[in-house]
Amino acid sequence: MTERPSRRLALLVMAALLASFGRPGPAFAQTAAAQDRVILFVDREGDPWYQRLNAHDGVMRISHLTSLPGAELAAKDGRAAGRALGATFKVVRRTLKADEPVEQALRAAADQGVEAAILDVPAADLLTASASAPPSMALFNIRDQDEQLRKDTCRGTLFHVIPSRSMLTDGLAQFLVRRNWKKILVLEGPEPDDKAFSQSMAASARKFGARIVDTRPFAMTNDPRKREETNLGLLTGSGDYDVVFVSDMVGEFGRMTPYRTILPRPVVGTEGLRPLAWHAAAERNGAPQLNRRFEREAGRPMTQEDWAAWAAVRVVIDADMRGARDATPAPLPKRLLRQDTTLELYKALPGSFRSWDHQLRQGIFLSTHNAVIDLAPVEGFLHETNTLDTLGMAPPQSPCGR
Amino acid sequence: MGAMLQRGGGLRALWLVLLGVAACPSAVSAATGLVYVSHERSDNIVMLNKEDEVVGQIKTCARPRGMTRTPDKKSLIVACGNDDTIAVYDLASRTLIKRFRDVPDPETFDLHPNGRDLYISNEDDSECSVLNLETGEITAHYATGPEPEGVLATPDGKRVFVASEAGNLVHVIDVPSGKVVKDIVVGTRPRRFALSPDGKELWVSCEIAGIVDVIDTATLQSKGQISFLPKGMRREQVTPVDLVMTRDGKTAYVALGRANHVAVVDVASRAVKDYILVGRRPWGMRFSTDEKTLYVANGLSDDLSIVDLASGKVRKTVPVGMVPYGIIVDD
Repeated sequence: MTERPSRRLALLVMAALLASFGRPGPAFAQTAAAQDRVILFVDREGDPWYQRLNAHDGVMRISHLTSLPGAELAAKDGRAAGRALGATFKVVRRTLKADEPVEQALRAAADQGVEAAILDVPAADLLTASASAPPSMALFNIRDQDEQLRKDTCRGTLFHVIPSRSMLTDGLAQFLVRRNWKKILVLEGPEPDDKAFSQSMAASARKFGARIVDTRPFAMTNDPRKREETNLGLLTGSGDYDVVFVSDMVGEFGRMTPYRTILPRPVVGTEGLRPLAWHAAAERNGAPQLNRRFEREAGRPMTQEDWAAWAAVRVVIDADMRGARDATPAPLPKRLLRQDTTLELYKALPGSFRSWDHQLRQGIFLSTHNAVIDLAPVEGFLHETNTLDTLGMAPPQSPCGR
Repeated sequence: MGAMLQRGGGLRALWLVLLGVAACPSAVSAATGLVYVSHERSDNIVMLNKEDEVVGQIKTCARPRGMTRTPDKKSLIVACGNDDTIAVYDLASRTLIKRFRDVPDPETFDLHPNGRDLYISNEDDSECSVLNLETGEITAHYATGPEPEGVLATPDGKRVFVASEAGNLVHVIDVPSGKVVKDIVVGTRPRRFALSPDGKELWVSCEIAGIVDVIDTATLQSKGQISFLPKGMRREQVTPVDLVMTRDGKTAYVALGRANHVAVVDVASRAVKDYILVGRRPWGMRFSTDEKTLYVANGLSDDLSIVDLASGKVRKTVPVGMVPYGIIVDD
């Protein structure tokens, strides 16, 4: 490792910067009259998402860490923008009690002039929030990939920053078709999310001309009577396939699949080559700068949920900057749907929200644990209006697009 | 050699002579007649002669990007991002003569007309710092938006413009008062600048928005936008970066990045007159002094497109190093 000599200097510079931001110096006269623009970050006590899962063998511990640092980084990035607008962007965390209804918290915030809330909460809360939030308030989903959620909430003000499941599998299918690895063997886990993911992959394969040769359920057990579902040799020993698609959100079965298949074939899905919204090893389109900034703030690599939280705040700041050019700015949810939006997402193509499912248009990284192999939409997959719309739900699939 | 010079305090005088600080403009030397191209990945500067042939290279510090000549045109100042260094090379001997260390991740810069103050964008630190080339001190820091990129000092030395890529802003530094006096909201991901010769218009390339934003330097507000779309390309492939304007202020050239073309723009009408097909992802561009030739660095095809401006065609494509970035023409 090379310890850069500039670290100390950088720290000094940062300290000086922080000091200069702390007090409204004459250089930033506008800061004195600044108004706070609060972006609420809502999470919930006892959220199962953050419960640590002890996997079957006790070796793996799957846990999520809060994405708050992503949102905070974007607010920090937005300081200079705030200076230009005469405002200060602030992320305020609001942790709901285990039984506290989400709608009251949102209404209280809206009464105080808050226009944007990031919802890091379970799916039921997302639905409630979408149904009851004031129409002037934009809500952001940063972790739920469910397709049905997007259909059910498309008339509200809930915006999805994290890609939908079909965007992820579409990206992966494009990659496989491009490589001509069109015969896919699916190994499917027992969880509802595992089944949803493999079904989404089957739909994506149909969409882009790949083929599921077989779908085989696996089980996590030592029961000898279930060896057809536990033994990877038996699971991968028959039939011909180009690639093994593993759908295992828990990850414990999945992590043992590469190199243990009978035929020498790559593993993709939740293991091996994974479709993700973000990756800490992305090396193009300015991504290293964002990753470095995040790691410096949070002390860990940026996950896709961190990125989504960052992007949500970024979206709000961008909409405010655009709105500042309008004579009478429309409410935030309306401005988010402007189709001439060009959001910088650090994934090459400019982002914007789809009108029919409120989904953020974005590229999908196809990545291993330490490298981004490709970025979907993969070269050669075209669309009549925007290549990003080759990924995910088409308008007729959503009740708002018909 | 650089380290040796840096240590020898007595040699500072020699350094000042080499710099030829504006005090003696008569010291301008004969040009080397070469074109210099910096490379992000191969850590070198490749040189070409007037016959469009590669004639040599200078090994540099790590990830050289932004370059400029000193006012006496004898030496080349280079930003080396991965070494946190600003390096100075003597053009005649092609050797390193000075290094300023601990400049965090410099990408691009501009030299103030006083020939002494180098305004540097420090990508990772969200600031623009000012390096005094005589003393080696950092004399000022200006807070910018995230990922500061293009820097431009006006010829009268009164203002410095800095683009913040991730902030979608152009910061205006008032040099006499040493303050950021304005943050101008521009299109998504602003990268580089071109100032019209009369100083009235500042053109800013906005990479993700795919436009050039035209800023009125009197009001410091955006007063127009130019969009591009070469035939057969998609809007999102248009990612403008470098842009240059002729001395008569009539024509501008804009490198369109992923759209693999250079746009030719009539400055007065802001109409796009032509698109010139070049290599993959053109970024850096410079004219020859006679403005008959345009050199274009193609970052993803590792070559240089040399455009004959009279015919509007590429005269020759020359393979150079890995990921060519910036160009300086010393003729």
